[in-house]
Amino acid sequence: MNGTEKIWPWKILLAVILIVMAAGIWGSVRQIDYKWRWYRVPQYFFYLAEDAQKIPFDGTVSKIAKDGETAKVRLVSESSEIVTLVVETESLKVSEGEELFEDDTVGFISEWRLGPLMKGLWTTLWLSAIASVFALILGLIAGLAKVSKNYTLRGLAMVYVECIRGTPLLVQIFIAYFFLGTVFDLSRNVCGIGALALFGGAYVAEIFRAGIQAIPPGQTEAARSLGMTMPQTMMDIILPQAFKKILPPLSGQFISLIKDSSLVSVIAITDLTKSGREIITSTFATFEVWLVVAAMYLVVTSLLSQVVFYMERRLAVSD
Amino acid sequence: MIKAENVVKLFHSRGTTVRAVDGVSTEVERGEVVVVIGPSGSGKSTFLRCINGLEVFSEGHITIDGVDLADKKTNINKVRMEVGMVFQQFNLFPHKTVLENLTLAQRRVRKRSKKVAEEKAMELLHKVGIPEKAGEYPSRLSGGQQQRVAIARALAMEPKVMLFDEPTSALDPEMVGEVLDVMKQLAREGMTMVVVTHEMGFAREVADRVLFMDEGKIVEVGTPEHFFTEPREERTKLFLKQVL
Ligand SMILES: Nc1ncnc2c1ncn2[C@@H]1O[C@H](COP(=O)(O)OP(=O)(O)OP(=O)(O)O)[C@@H](O)[C@H]1O
Ligand SMILES: [Mg+2]
Repeated sequence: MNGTEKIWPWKILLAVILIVMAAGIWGSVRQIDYKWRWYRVPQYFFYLAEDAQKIPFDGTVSKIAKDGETAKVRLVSESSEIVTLVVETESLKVSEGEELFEDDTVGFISEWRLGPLMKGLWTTLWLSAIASVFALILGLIAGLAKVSKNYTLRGLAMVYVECIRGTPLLVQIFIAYFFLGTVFDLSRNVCGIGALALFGGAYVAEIFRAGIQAIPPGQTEAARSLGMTMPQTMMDIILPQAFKKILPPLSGQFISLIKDSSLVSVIAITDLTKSGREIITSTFATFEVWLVVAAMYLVVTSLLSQVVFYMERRLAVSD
Repeated sequence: MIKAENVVKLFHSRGTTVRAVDGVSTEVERGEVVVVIGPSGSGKSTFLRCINGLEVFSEGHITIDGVDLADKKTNINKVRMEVGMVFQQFNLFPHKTVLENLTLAQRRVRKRSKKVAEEKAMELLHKVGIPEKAGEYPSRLSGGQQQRVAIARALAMEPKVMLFDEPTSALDPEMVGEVLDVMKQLAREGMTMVVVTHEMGFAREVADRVLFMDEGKIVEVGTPEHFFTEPREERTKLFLKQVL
């Protein structure tokens, strides 16, 4: 492309195509008579929970001290036990001197809570984070084994990588949970994280191998000729340079891992995907929820891409 | 200082065996400067790399300061501390500054403190004439400057022997001089040096002895004068005619 060529006509074309596609989808959806209920979605992010405050015994209201929004209610039982409950003034259901039975509601306290979508997102995030750390460690070890001079190490790494890359992640998760999980008595979280880490590790191993082999042999020779040992050479010379080269494919792998983590929902881990499915069973807002879930994954992966982009720019100082 | 006896290095690749070094015997005295010349593929680099263990030779013995490299008990990293090497392609560490290039091995291998290593590094950068580049990354330096840093990096380990493998071959002609000057100064200071080079002027000026290699063997040995005035072997004459 030459520099003088105008780009705005192409931008307009892009916008037109996107609008036409959106309109097409919109039109199709209208034909099938789907009732959109977007207003139901926000409560699955955050909701206001009302907790009833109940009297734990039969007794009387001895005193109510209103203090603006909240009120302190002092309750006395027949055996002179005293309990003070805090409730919201507006929700107050009792008056001073009133006699109550055990478990009668005195009032309510409301509080914002994380809805299932946020909880699921949180599960997805920490699950992916832990799995990524282990995948990185596993991948580094397997990658180093792959470039090692020792035949046995190379063979082990090869078997690991080939087995993992040659089978579907979904099947691996089933094996981890129903087979290994049963035999070694592991929790579903351990199985899910383990399967994701093993899966990611195999791909990370290949990335490390390629990165290490892309460093000119002269670097190793120079370091070794200075008397540095092979581990020192790896740590100080090869890996720092390789890491810079593999940052883009490595981050791509971790982004994949976040997306792939949605598969652990099949072993009943309540991640973002599973939360979405659970919400749908109770609301039938199928379209809205899946679109929102997809958007949430997209936000997370885009943010991660941005972080990596800035890291790459900072690491480029010695180029 | 260096003693090679009947050194053979075989390379096996795709079913064929190459005798890259084929029975080389020679001795290098302390403080001696030996220049190795010879046509491409004659095994000069391979022989040099055998001396610091970058290649493991197939037969024969090399002893450095009395330490036998072929001995299984020899710690090759100890030997390499005493044998500095300078490569054709410089091989500076691109992710480290010039100063860090010079201090890394001092700290990791010689276990020097940061302060001591940096003092040594700056002293050597003064010696090779580029102290002002200490904070730069290698990619910002010219080829000649990079090679001078590479020499300083090897010297920082205070080796007893320096090996040079065509140190000026990758340089633009106008930068060859500055690198050769540093090497000449080293030679004057009494460093034991083995230099593979095609720079005949350098050989004539500083070499105590010249080895001519061809097909893995040392074909002719002599002083620079001998080579420039009365080479004996036909192959030597042919080679010199091409490079002079
Ligand atoms: N790693 C290797 N594997 C296989 N063969 C090799 C290897 N290194 C060198 N050789 C072969 O050994 C022979 C000697 O090579 P060497 O690099 O020592 O020659 P040289 O004299 O340094 O040549 P040049 O002047 O081109 O650097 C050549 O035939 C080369 O092809
Ligand atoms: Mg060579």
